[in-house]
Amino acid sequence: MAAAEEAVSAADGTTKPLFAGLADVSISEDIPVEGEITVPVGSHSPEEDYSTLDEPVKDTIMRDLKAVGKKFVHVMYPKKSSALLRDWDLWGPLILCVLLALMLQGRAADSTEDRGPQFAEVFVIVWFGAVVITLNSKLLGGTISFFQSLCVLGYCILPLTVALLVCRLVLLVKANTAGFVVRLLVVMAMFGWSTLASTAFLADSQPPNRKALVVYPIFLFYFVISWMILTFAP
Amino acid sequence: LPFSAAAKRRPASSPSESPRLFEDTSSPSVPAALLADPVSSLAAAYGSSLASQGKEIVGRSIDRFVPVTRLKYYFAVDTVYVGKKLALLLFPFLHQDWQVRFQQNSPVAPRFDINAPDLYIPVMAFITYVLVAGLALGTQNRFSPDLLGLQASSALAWLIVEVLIVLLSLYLVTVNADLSAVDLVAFSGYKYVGMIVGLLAGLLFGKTGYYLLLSWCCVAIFVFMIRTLRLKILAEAAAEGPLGRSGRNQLRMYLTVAVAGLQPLLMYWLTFHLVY
Repeated sequence: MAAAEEAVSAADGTTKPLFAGLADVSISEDIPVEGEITVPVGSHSPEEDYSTLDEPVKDTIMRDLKAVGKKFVHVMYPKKSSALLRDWDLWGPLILCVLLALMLQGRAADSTEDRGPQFAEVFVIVWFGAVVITLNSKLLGGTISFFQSLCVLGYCILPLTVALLVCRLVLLVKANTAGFVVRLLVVMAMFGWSTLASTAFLADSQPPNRKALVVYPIFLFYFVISWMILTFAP
Repeated sequence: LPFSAAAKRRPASSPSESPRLFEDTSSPSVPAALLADPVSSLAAAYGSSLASQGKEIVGRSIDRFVPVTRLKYYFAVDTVYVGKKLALLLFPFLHQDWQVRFQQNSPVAPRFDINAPDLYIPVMAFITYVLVAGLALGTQNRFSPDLLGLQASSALAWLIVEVLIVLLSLYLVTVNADLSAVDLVAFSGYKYVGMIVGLLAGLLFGKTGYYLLLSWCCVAIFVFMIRTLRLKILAEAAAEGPLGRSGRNQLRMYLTVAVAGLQPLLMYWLTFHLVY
């Protein structure tokens, strides 16, 4: 403090830097210089909640799982909600794709006759098909972004995954013509549901004279997946 | 903090902007005062400017290989155009006027003129052809999913070879036609429609149905290509009048007939092994 007062009082002549003599300041031993320095933290402002590094991992996982589950519900009952579009995520499509690829493993992979798709083939078909549909929709002048469209197409595979589960159960019970008819009906119904659900989201972004042009590749895409499910034989 | 907000939302109206394929148009607004700390906000602004620079570089390198703005012209179609064009591809005999209408030195979008080439029908026809081929193989118990990829890549390879051959011959004959490579890809892709019709007939009605419908589609695509290419390649000869029979014009006529004749050959080559 003395040094500061010195610098302030020497304002008439030479310019001395403030606190120049602080190095010379020494504190005698008997003055207690200890305590806690705390910065007063105000109430939690909403900006500080964006840092999610400090929360327990269970919270993060539960939040993502809840988001994925909510989107599943939106797909099964396609109302005019924009939750699927607004916060897109690719976790759901990944889970569904992995489930589909795992359950479509049929005969031994190296048999040369009529075998089912390999794990990687299902992945390639699903993601390459989704990318082609998205590019087509964007080139036709759609207003939906790339990842939003991928998200919608991936989530709408859910009805077909349910159909695959039902088919596997039916094949466990009986494998004759009646079983085939049941499987055909179930797969056709779920195929229609998938196509309707995804067109409800994707075709809205196009003017009405182009809706059919966007629906056709989606129809082809789910047709291929339904075909793979229908011809599945363990 | 206006600096960070401006860097985050760069307006995309400049003509040299990267193609807006990968932009995220989902969230309409971003919370403004995201970080209260000036250093973090500077870092965020720097990061977002780096990201947009990276996006521009990617956009420019994509633009060098695939002219995205030019591609959008070929996808400016609507359902009515697609329906009429498919009918024209299967029955071109009665159509009279094959000239593409122009508007201030640039051709009109396919939506407004049925004679303009587009890329939607070729791309969708190609994909449908691969799937129908897979179906045909499946009914003969010869199917496995990697055959789908095999069919797709071999058909794509034939398409590229055909377009390169036509480009080469156009260059050798020194024809100044306004046929770009993308136009040629579009014209070569139109034969897939006939191939799909032939394959479906083969699936439903056996070999006789396949041969009948395939020959019809071959004749149709031959007439279609002759009438379309004649206007482009023989444009100067048409301007001279019907008596302009120089050696160059004959060469161009042969070239047009050769390109049109290549289509039925390829249609047969790519489908006959799928029908039993």
